[in-house]
Amino acid sequence: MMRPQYSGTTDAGPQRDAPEAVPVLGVKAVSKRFVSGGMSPSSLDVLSGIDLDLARGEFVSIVGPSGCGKSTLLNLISGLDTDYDGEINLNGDGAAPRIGRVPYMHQRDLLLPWRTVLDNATISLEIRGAGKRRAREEALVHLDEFGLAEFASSYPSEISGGMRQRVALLRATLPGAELLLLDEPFGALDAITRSSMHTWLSQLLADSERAVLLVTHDVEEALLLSDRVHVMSSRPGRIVSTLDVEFPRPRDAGIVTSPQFVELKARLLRVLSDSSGVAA
Amino acid sequence: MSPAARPAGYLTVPLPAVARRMLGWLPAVVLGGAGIGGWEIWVRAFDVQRWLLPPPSVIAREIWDSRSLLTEHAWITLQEILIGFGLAAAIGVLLAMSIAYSRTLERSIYPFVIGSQMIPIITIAPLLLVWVGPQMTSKIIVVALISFFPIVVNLVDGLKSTDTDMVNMFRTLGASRWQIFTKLQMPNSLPYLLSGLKIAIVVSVIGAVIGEWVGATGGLGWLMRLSAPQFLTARVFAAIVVLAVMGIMLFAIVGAVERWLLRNYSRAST
Ligand SMILES: Nc1ncnc2c1ncn2[C@@H]1O[C@H](COP(=O)(O)OP(=O)(O)OP(=O)(O)O)[C@@H](O)[C@H]1O
Ligand SMILES: [Mg+2]
Repeated sequence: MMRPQYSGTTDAGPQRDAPEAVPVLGVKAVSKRFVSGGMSPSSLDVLSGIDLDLARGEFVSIVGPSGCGKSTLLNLISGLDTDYDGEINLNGDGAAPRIGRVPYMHQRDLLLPWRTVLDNATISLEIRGAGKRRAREEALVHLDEFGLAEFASSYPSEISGGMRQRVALLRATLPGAELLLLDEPFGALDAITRSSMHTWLSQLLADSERAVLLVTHDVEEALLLSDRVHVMSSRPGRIVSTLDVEFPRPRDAGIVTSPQFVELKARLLRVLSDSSGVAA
Repeated sequence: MSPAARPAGYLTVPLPAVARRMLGWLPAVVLGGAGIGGWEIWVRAFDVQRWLLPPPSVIAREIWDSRSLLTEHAWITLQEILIGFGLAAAIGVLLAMSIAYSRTLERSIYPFVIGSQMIPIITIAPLLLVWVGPQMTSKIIVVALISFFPIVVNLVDGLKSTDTDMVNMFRTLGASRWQIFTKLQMPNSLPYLLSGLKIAIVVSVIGAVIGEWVGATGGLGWLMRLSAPQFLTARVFAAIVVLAVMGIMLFAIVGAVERWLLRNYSRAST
């Protein structure tokens, strides 16, 4: 169970079932161009006609070469950047500002060094007006499933990189929302820690209603965690291919050696190298 | 990591922490001792006049003989420093917060903050005497006037040095401008504030002495000013020694507060 009792304004809750037709996230024909002014104005087309849907509880990944605009897309969806062409709908609503409603986890853990693990997690509740004590009680409930129970009063500098990422994820998910954005959340971790994080995250999300959009360079990570993988081309980023991953979730790390998985991975790598023009 | 947790090398003799820290001051003690010794020998060997340059032994004697006089005036100076510094800290923090929070306020306030430092203290101090009288108030104003500046400049830099990714993280969590300011920018700027305070406490000491030099009814600066024309050079040096010890102790106190406040500010996380 990932959804805590204390919930933000956007949490519809499982009881108010939206009609099947309305996706949690609907991205339609989104394009983005960076224009830099100054002496010699120039523009850079970064995203071109992105279409993307996420239904409740779905896990979708985007893989693509570096610089193709993946983070840019997440910035648009989260509402950090509001300047784009096309349509982005949250629960069918494209007009309301999205900033502050879509939890977004960055590749860097961005923990506050002066706060303990527990207080780093509760900052998201404090921002929503929960009292410090109330917020702590709320977060304490989840420390165990995040494997952080013993480290509640440790400081970020005293815990491992994997643990720091889990604190960042707990912080992002505590207020409860139907959508979660992950931008290469495990990119800075070593292979062994990353693999254990995959297993853990997979378990954590198993019976969650939350839709997750993950951006990654790691093809195996995408296949291991997702229901669907979109491949983006190099700049300007377009979705050039989509793969459905049929294995039931949560998945065990062991499946990466199964023939079906290996075949899927080979296909994905092929598409990726075709789209980025670089030999895999 | 506590020093005890560090594995000791084969030849390391484990020393108690206090002893080890004191050993660290050894070079300073040796250098100071050599300087004082050389001075003493020089003055005696060349028979320098006492009123021109008294040897350290005479100064030490003077410190002991006029201890009650020195204490009395040191107390006056210390009060001026502490009140002026406290005032500077309060005003400095408020100004820095205003400057960092609002561009309009930055544009309207910052030029005057910088301009205030162009006022030659030597010319304003006598005027202050005329305006507020020869008591402590004029010295407190001088102290505050020169020590608020490093506080403002450092704190403004600290408040503005927040990581953009951190700010964006706060925004995605729904934080308001004010929440970003109080929960991110302010704690983030604490190391900068403390650097500013360390500079400010040192210039406070100088400020108090300048203020007293120009005109006062007491204080170490006033004592020096009074003793010099009477060729009580040993007393001038005695006052300087007391002032230096006081300044170093004040700096050490701010340093200790800094270490305590920043004990969890390690930058090891990404
Ligand atoms: N604010 C900006 N102004 C101008 N150009 C930008 C800006 N932000 C990003 N870009 C450019 O847009 C392109 C896409 O950047 P983005 O960070 O989205 O890539 P990415 O797919 O996330 O790459 P990576 O996998 O390396 O994180 C890059 O070429 C980058 O230089
Ligand atoms: Mg990126």
